[in-house]
Amino acid sequence: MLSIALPKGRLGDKVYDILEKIGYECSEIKEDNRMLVFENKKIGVRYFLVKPSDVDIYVERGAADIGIVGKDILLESNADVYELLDLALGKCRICVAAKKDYVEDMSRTLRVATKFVNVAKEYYATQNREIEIIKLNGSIELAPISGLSDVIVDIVESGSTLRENNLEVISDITTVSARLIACKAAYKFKQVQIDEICKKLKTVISND
Amino acid sequence: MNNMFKALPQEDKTVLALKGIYQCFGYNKYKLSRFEEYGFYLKYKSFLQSDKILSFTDLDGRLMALKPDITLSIIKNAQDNSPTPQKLYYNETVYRENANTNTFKEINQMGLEYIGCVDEYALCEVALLAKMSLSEISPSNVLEISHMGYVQGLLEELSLDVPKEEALNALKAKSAHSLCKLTQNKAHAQDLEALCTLSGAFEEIYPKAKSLCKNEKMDTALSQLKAISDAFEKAGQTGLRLDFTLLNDTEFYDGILMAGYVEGVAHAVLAGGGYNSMMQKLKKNCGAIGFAVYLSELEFVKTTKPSVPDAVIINQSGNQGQLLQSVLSLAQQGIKCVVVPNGTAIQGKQTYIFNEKGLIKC
Repeated sequence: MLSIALPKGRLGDKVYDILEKIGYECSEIKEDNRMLVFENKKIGVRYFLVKPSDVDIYVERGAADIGIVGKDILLESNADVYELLDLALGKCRICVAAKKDYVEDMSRTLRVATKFVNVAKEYYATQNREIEIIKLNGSIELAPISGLSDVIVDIVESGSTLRENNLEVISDITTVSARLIACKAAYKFKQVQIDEICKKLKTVISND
Repeated sequence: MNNMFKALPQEDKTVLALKGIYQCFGYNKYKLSRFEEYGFYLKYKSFLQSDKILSFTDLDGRLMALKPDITLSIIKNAQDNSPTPQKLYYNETVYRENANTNTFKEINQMGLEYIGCVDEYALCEVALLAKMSLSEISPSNVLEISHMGYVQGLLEELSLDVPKEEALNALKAKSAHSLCKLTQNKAHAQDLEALCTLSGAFEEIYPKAKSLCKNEKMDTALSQLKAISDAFEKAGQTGLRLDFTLLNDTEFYDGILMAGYVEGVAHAVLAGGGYNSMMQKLKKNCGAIGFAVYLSELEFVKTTKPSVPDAVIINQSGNQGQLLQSVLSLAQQGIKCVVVPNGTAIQGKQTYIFNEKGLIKC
């Protein structure tokens, strides 16, 4: 039995559609219910529906053999997992953004609001810039508007949320997308199944 | 006594079995102090898994540390010009950072070190002992081997646009898509991707690894790995994997790398390798190879419910000496028994009553 941790939400729905297409169907998953575990014993697959930011934890600790997770989450958690495939889904960027009229004052500590604490720390460490991290869990765009921070480090997809809040990107940190990850120990015992699903997903991606 | 041994929890049995194996192969027990001078770790902190060290000031004013690592201390104390190899094993506690809780944790670790001239026999013996250790933990296990020389040999041939560490990190994550972005040269990108996919049963991967060899360094490394595989075949050992994305502790190990997994445990339960250059850094004129078994991981091997006693004896009255004799007789048969005062109710597989008439099964 191969267990797969799927992120709840749009990305999980998209990935499930692909998995269904390549032979890993489990139709119950599409039913409107609150179940979190779905199993198709016939083809030997079990899905766990988990919070997107928890997928890597399930996989790293071996509760799920493989999972689908955003690169942003991997960068932040530094989970000890195999990152087998870039699914090229949910593509976006992690950027530094600020108010449109913002001019950086290099003489003082930069206040950075973000939920990506490690990514922000690492980015500014490479610039040798003194920063103060303000950890937020949502509505990050509000931080510079309200004066809580000078800049934010956040995910930018189309940029419309930034524009609507009179903010703009001042630098790109990295691009991110969904990744297929695998538990290192599970890979030793289920390599054939994991390689097979990886190969099939690769074919779908390269055809798209 | 033999029956009483059977009553031990599985983890304890494993520890005893490992000690027996290591002793039979001529390894002697090595006892270390729990403390080491802090300055020693400060000097070699780049070789530690984490720079977080649990320290304290001793009564004589010296700054001491609770050991975060065993091998460094063993190297420090190793005899330099011993005519025979020093073969030793240990069962110790190390203190390391628990990144999840931001606290220190105690890790129970058992391992062995072979210090001296590490020839082909020594390589094969240590690898075999690693495999035998895994088999004692669980019948469903794999030993994975790799070689730093092979990976470094290939990286030296390629022109990368980034520092080598970045390539090693991508390789460690089996991230072929990241590796391909590290060079503009298409052929080099293909070689990196090929290296990343060299993973599987030894006999299946070996020919592919052979065809990727580009220099003597890679050839030498691969021939050492092949020697281990041949020795395993002769010893009737199965479950040997070759995987060049196995890159544990690249600052410390420079030769063979090993990692052991058992089914049902999410992390490696065994890790080790050859560290000749580390010996030179600590001014020791010999080579070394070893591995550690993470005993703390063994509690996750099989989830068993806390065991109930085989026999619960309700002590009502009667000759207490006779009762003790009855308990001893049961214990010698490997039956775990508990004597409880009359009126106490605890769960057991079998309940007895002891009174003037003796031991009566309920």
